[in-house]
This record gives sequence, structure tokens and C-alpha cells, in this order.
Amino acid sequence: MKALARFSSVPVAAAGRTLLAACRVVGGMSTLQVRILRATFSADHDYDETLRQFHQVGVRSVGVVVATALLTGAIMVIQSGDFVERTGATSLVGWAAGTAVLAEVGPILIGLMFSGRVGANNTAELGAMVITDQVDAVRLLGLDPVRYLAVPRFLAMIVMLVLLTCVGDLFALLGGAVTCQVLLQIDMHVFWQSVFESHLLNYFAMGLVKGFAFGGAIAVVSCHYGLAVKGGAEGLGRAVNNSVVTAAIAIFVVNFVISALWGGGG
Amino acid sequence: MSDGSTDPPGSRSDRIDAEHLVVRLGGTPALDDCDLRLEKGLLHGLAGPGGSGKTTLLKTLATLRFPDSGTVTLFGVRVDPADREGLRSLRSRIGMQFQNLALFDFLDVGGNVAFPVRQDPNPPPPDVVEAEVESLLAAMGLAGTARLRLNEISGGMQRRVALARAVMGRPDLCLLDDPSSGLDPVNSSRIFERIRAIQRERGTTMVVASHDVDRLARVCDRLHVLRAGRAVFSGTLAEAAESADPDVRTFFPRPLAA
Amino acid sequence: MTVSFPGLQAVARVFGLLGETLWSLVRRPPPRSAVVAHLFNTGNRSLVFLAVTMGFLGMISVYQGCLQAMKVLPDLSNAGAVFIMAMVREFGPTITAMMLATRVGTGIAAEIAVMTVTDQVEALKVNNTDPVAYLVAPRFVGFLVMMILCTVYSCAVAILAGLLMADLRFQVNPNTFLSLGFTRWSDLSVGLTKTVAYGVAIPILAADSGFRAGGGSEGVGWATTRAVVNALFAIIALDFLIAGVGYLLVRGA
Repeated sequence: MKALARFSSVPVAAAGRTLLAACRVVGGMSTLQVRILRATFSADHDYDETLRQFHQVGVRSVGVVVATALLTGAIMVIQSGDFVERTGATSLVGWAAGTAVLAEVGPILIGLMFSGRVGANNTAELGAMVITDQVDAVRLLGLDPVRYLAVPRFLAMIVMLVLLTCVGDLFALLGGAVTCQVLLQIDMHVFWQSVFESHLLNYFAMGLVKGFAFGGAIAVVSCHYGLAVKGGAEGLGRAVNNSVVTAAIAIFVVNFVISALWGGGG
Repeated sequence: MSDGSTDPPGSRSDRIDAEHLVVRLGGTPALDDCDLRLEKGLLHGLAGPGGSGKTTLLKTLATLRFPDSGTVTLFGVRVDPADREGLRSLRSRIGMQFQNLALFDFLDVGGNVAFPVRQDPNPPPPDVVEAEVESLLAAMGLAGTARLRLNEISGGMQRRVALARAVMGRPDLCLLDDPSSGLDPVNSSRIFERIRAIQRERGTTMVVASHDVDRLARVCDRLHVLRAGRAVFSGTLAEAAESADPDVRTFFPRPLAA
Repeated sequence: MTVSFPGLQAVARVFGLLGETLWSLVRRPPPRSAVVAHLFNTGNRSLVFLAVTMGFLGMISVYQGCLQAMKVLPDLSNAGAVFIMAMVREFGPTITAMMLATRVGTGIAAEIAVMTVTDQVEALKVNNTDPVAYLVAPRFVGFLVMMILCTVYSCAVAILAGLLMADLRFQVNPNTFLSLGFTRWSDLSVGLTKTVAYGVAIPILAADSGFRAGGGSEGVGWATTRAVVNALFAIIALDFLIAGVGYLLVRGA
């Protein structure tokens, strides 16, 4: 045991172990993804549970997402205001802040917040069900835990994150406009005009696609770690930790892929 | 009831008691007008149905909970939540074993047992502590386990480690919450024998809460019964069997002719 | 509507914990071995994670920024300078803090929550050990120091990734890209202020959630969840405050 412990601290072995663990996680999540998709497109659905999840996910996250979005818009205006002031192009403030918010910063921050609020919660909830044998009880009733537990959450998270991204974008622009007026002392009209003239619909659409993808990723990651909990309270804490970390990695990687594929647009 | 007649005059500083304790946990009272008087140097058994407030009473005696009303007096000093120094000096005389053990998982067995002494502002020299830990572990039948991690020993052994930590540093008041929980009859008997032996050897005032009323009755000097947050009986086993309260007689029936 | 800080009471409690932590640091610094262990824990567990997230962030920011800039002015010679400024004053500290909050903050919350629900915190108290001094102080110091170091590291990773993207996709000369032309001292001080503020806030909020855990293993899950949300939201709120004040100060000067 001790020899093994000493050996495992050798960098190569550690790297190998990390790689194997990563493969196990990716494999497990891919399997879950396939099972979720198959169950989603099969005939029978638990509509009640799905509706309940929609409600829970939405109620849990709307407050924190709106607050995040308002502040995000404000922060981006401050940042671009600084830049605009240095280059002297006041009319670009709406364009600079709007693009950043709609295309990149908004979806990422809303996604991270959503992952913290809903994803972590989901892992904790499913994990607690595993620890208290409730998942086994579901199996014993002849129900498939993936169909009964994971699918409604998966659907709810995707739909809700797309909607929240919509709402969040609005509030972010609102926060930006107010900040523009109050802090930068640039008339709000200049900001709105700049936003509308920049034809940001393309970025808005990209943001929604990101919301869709982030929602799915957060759902699969959080369900995977929740259903795989082992070993009591400590295991549950670790699972939540791993869940939010993996979701964060997924968000950044998925964001990169979508942005790169989408191209500049316009 | 002995009515404190065992207290020699002038030993007021040994007084350990709780008067009219009310402790609420999230609204509902866990202790409701509870009185308890502990005679010095005796082994006290605390029995009562689940949810009757045994754990809350022990934690209140350990100064981990403060009563919403009523008073706790330890070693003649009234517990005052605002007096940090006072609490510090009281706690240095208390040892406690928690119901779910509360062993520190970042320390090994020896580190756990040594913890109460090492945390002193001026701890004794390390080799003295080491020797004390070794002898205590040996007395618990755990010789040679000091360097093991907690997850390398069995649940029964962990209970004994927790017991060793509770009596380490020779506290004047030792509170043991369900020391035999989850143990088989053989190991339960052994752990009660060990508690009795340590208590006899050191003359510590000990309180043992347990569901294991048979063994409790066998080793304890005094028995206390809690019901719905109130102490309904205090006295010896013989007195319990004669009690007018049917619940008390259920817990401690007249022993069969032995 | 869910708000992360239900009322003033919670704010008072969090600041109380911060005060207790600072006071215990003044009175008796935590043992060096404990601080080193937490430094290692914070840093070592985060390097790969930070490299992945900041790398992707750096690449995509430069990609988007260059595409955007080309629409307005066909000249990309300022792209690097603007990107580096944004990294130093905004995204470096903030995204690093968010990543460390998810990685390390939840870890702190989970550890302390486990100790709370298994009565280990009470066992500390009955043995006359102040849980704040014993558990929070070393984690606080470890996190704060590592937060600063990790921000530097994150900026370096992001700038390197951005440089690669600019060079390979947009043929921007690395020497042109690596320009501090837009980065002023005020940007650096705003970035540093943010870093320190996040470094203080995250471990305190995480520890607070941990101490408030109740009710078995489920309580640990909730505490960990609460820690993420509180920390992430605090980061965004602090970001807004510091950016706003920084802007006013710089403009006032």
C-alpha cells in the first residue's frame, strides 16, 4: 500500500492516472448522454415530473441569473467605456459592450451561474437520493432511473437555460444602458442606438445556441456525478465539487467550439 | 434519593448540576424544564427513549449548547456564554465522546487521542504525551495502532479511539454519548467494562448515555431517566425498580434473583 | 425569487466570520505546515484546470476580438495590446476567481461541512480549539496567496493562447501582439484589487456555508451548492463595485 502510494507520486504515473480517470469520466458521461437521448425520444414520458423540473429549475435560477446579467452588462460597459474613452469613439460603446455580452461573456457567466445554482443542486439532490437508497427504490418499482430522474432534468435545463439566456441578454443590455447613463455619463440613447445599429441579432442567436449546448452539458455532467456518488457525506461533497468543475471545463470548451464554428458572421 | 448528602461540606466547587433547563432546537424544545444533579466521582447512566433529549443534555453540559432558559453549573461555576475565558477553563476540564464519534479524519489514531492535550496553550513535552497515548491505547486494547489512519481500523476500534480521546488529559467531567452504539453484545460489554475500570481508577465524574439499559444498569452508580426533555427519575438501580413511574420500571425492572 | 444573500443578517454573519478570521491571524498565525498544505492544495489542484479554461478563453477572445476589429479597422496591430489590458484588469482576475471558487471554494465548503455534520467542529470546541483559527485561518491564507499567484499564471496562459491564435489565424506578429501599450498602472492596480478582494471573499463564503451545514450527508451537498452560488455571485458583485470605483477614480484623476 505504502509502496503504491510512493509510486503514484511519480509524475508519469500521476499523469497516467489522471488520464485514465478522465477517460472513465468521459466514457461514463457519453453512456449517460446516449441513454438520456434514447429515453428522450422514446414514446412514454413522465410529463408531471418534467413539468415539475421545469418549474424548479426556472424558479431556482431566475433571480440569480437576472442579477448576474444586470451586473455583467454594467461591467462590460465600464470596461468598454474605458477603452472607448482612450480611442475617443463614444458611439462604439453599445457595439463593444453589446457584442461582448451577447456573444461571449453573457452566455459564459450565465452558464457558470446556472451550473452553480442548478447543476450543483442537481448533483446534490441525486447524490442524496443515491446515498439514501432512493435510486434503488426507483429501480425496484421497475422504473428506469435515467428515464425517470435524468431525462426530465435534462429537458428542463436545456429549455430553461435558453430562456434564461434570452432574459439575461435583455437585462444585461438594460444594466449596460443604465451604467452608460449614470457612470459614463453618456446618454442612454447613444448606447441603444449603437446597439441597434450594430446588427447584433447574429450574436444573440449564437448566445442562444450556446445556452442550449451549455444546458445540455450541465445536465449530463451534473446527473453523471449525482448518480455516481459513493461513500456518504464526503462522497457527496466531492461529487458536487467535481460536477461544477467539470461543468466549467465543458462550458469553456463548448464555447470555444461554437464560437469558432460560427465564425465572425454579419 | 440521596439529596446531595454525599457532598461533604465545603465542596461547593464540585457541584455539577443543571436547573430548569430549556433548550430549543429549531423551535421545538429538546429539553423542557430539565433538572439534573451529578454527584462527584460517580458513574452516571442516562437512559430514555429516542428523542428524549439525551444528546442535547450532554451537549449542554459540555457547554456546546447554551440553554434558552435555566442554568448549568459546572465545578461550582455557572456557565456564562459571554465569558470566553471562563468557557475555556471549563472546557479544559471536560472530555466528550460524541454519538457519531467526531474523530478528526485528517489525523491518525494517535493524533486523535493526543488532541485534547496538544491543544493546551502550554502542552506537556511530546514524549510524555506519546507515552500517555500509548498506555491509553493499550488499556483500550488498541496497542500499536497509533500510526494507523482512521479508515484502516474497524468501527468498533474507532469507538474505542473516541473513548480514549474523551478520557485523555484526565478531565474532571467525562460525557459519553452512546459508547456502544452499533456494537455486538460481546464488544458492548467490553466497552462498558473499560468505562467502569477507567472511572474507578481515576474517580472521574462520568455520564454515559445509552440505549443499552441492561449494561448501563450493571455498571452505573446512579441512573437518570429522561422523557420528553425532562428528567423523570434520578437514583440507584434499586430505587428505579421501586419507582412509581411505570416508564422508569420498564427501563430498569427489578433484577431477577441472581 | 431566490437571492443569494437573504437579508442583512447573513451579511453581518459573513463579515463577523471575516473579522474573527483576521483577528485569529493577528493573535496567533496558523502553523506554517498547515498553511503550506493548503497552499499546495489550492494551487496544485487548480493548475491543469486553469490552463484548460484560460487557454480556451484566451483563444476565443482573440479570435472574436480580431474578427470584430477587422470590421471596423483593418489593422490588427492593437489587438494584442487591448487583449492584454482586458486580461489584466478584468478577465484574468475574475475568471480565475470563478474557477478557483468552483474548484477550491467548494472543496473548502465540503470539508468544513463534513466536519460540521459529523460533530468534528464541536469536538474541536470541547477541546478548546477555536474552529475559525484552526480550520478557516490556514485555508484563508493559503487561498489568498494562491489566488494572487494563480491570477498571474492564468493571465500568462491566456495571453500565450491568445498569441498563438493571433499568430496562426490572423498572422499577427508575436512581438506586435505582446504589447503593453494599452495597459496602464491603473489597470494593474484595479486587477490586483479585484484579485485580493476575491481571494478574501471566496474562502470566507465557503467556510460560512460549511459551518451552516446541517442534517447528515444531504446537508453537505446543500452547503457545497450554496458555497458555489454565493461565491460566484460575490465575485460578480465585487467586480462591478471595483470596476465602477476604479473607473470613477481614474477619470477623476
